[in-house]
Amino acid sequence: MKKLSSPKLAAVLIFWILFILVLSALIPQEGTADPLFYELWKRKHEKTVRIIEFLSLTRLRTSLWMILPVIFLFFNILFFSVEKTRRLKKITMSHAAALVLHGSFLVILAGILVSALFSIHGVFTLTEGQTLTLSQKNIKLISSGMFKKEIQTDTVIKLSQFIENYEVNETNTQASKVHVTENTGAQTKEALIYPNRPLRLKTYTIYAGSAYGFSPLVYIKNKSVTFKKCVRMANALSKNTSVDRFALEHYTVKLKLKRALNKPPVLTFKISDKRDKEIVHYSLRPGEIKNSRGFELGFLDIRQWTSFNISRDSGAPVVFSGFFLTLMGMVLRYVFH
Amino acid sequence: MSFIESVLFWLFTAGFALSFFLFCIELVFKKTFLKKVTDGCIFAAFTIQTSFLILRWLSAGHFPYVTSFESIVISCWFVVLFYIVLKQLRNDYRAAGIALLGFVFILLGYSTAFQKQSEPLSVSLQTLWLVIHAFFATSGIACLITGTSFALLHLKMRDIKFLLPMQRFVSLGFIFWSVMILSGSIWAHQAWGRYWGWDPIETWSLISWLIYAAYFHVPFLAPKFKNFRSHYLLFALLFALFALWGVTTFYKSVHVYG
Repeated sequence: MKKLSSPKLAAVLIFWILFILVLSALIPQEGTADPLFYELWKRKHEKTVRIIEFLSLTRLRTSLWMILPVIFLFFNILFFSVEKTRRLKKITMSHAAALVLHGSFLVILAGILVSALFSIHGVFTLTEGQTLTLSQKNIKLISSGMFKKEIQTDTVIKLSQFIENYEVNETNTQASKVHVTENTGAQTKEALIYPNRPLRLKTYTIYAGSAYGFSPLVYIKNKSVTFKKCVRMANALSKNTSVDRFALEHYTVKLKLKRALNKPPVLTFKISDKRDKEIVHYSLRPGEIKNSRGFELGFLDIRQWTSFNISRDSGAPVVFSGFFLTLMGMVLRYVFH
Repeated sequence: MSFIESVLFWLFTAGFALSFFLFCIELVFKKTFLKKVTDGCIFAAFTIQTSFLILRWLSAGHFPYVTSFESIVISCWFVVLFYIVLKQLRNDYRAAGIALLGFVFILLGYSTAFQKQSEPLSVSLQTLWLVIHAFFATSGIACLITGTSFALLHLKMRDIKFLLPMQRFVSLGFIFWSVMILSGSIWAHQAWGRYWGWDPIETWSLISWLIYAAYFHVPFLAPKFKNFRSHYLLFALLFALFALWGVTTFYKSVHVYG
């Protein structure tokens, strides 16, 4: 008990955690490093990475290298606080502040533990007019707690409109107007989601994502192929240009959408064959259908798509309570010490 | 950066460089008559720097704390402000000016490596959390620089009177650094639903925070080593400076805005 509550052990543990954190900032970490960079790095240093992976050095922040010292630190702070309080004959404000400060770290660590066990974070995309049930198959999981592997909800969400220039408090932002039905048969409510203003549902919270773009309704037809679909295009080159490329049976279709101020957008189709020989190169405006070299091409409509983050984290309020206590403890300690 | 802004920037940088130079002459050759000239020079450069910040605020439409260049200039502004206030409170703390101006001069020189053009606020930055986050980041690092300057003076002059301001500034800097991390965390939770994302700047800020947390436990660790705390602060400041303005040179980060 005495050894476990010693400040020397605390300092050793802090330095050990520091060492692991520095190491985790130097070795690319799975999940947080850029996926493309991580894959290239793995391929380039295959043998070294195998050893590094065996030692869990590519998952340092969730490995035992990190978890064990954090657990020891938790008990060190706990026992130290108990011992210190027991030994004090008179508790001064400075002592009380130090206790609150150290206690706050226990609260934060407890909150982090709750998050690690029960939190879940996912991402999904919607095109204007599209309705989605927020079930596991429609959501890409980013991270999940040890005891929370699935997003379970029967909430239905529809993106009615994506507004690129929505004015809030005299500043422009991007806003998504959505219709949400939380339970089957329940009343549908309209809501706006924009950056820093999430939509809080009963069990989950939906946040505005950072990715958005255009989704033209494209129509391509020839003797062997019929295609009619909203194509989700990512912004590229500049904010006013979006591009996409996909395979359509034995053809490759490249789409380029250009927007100009006060002008209708222009969608350019480039279709090439198996040998990459360009067959069609044609530009259309919204609502146009034209024939070119045996292909019937249509730019039927244009919509916008946007991404959303969905999350549930019961640990967050605990962590934030810990933050409040930390600040209180620090300020009191500064004033009274 | 407009022509006037550019002129003002170089004027106050030159002003601080000249003040540093005068300070050196004053201390090395014991020319006390230079005191007033040095202080006048510092005050003039500080006024020009304040005008520069106001002008940039008006031209950008938001307080200039978004790009690395802007945050360095603001941190330097805080450092000089602390120096002016300290000098007014106790004249024997004036000696800290030489170290502080040295830091300011080096940082302003480093700031020219970053993009000087002001950036419009992106949608996720249009929140009060940015004001809190950036204010405490810049004032926090300024406190740490000021505290470390006193540590330098303590080591050089072997005078224990510098220990009290050193301790107070480092403690205040540590509180501000904590507020920066906590406000960023709450903001991230509000914007993306996650209070921690292991972004390189987040990671290095936490590393610096832990280094400073360990500093407060140093008396338990090395009670026999004289001047250990002052030496330790020099080492710790390197991490804090790297976390704010060095990380983006080596890593991709969501904190890069120019």
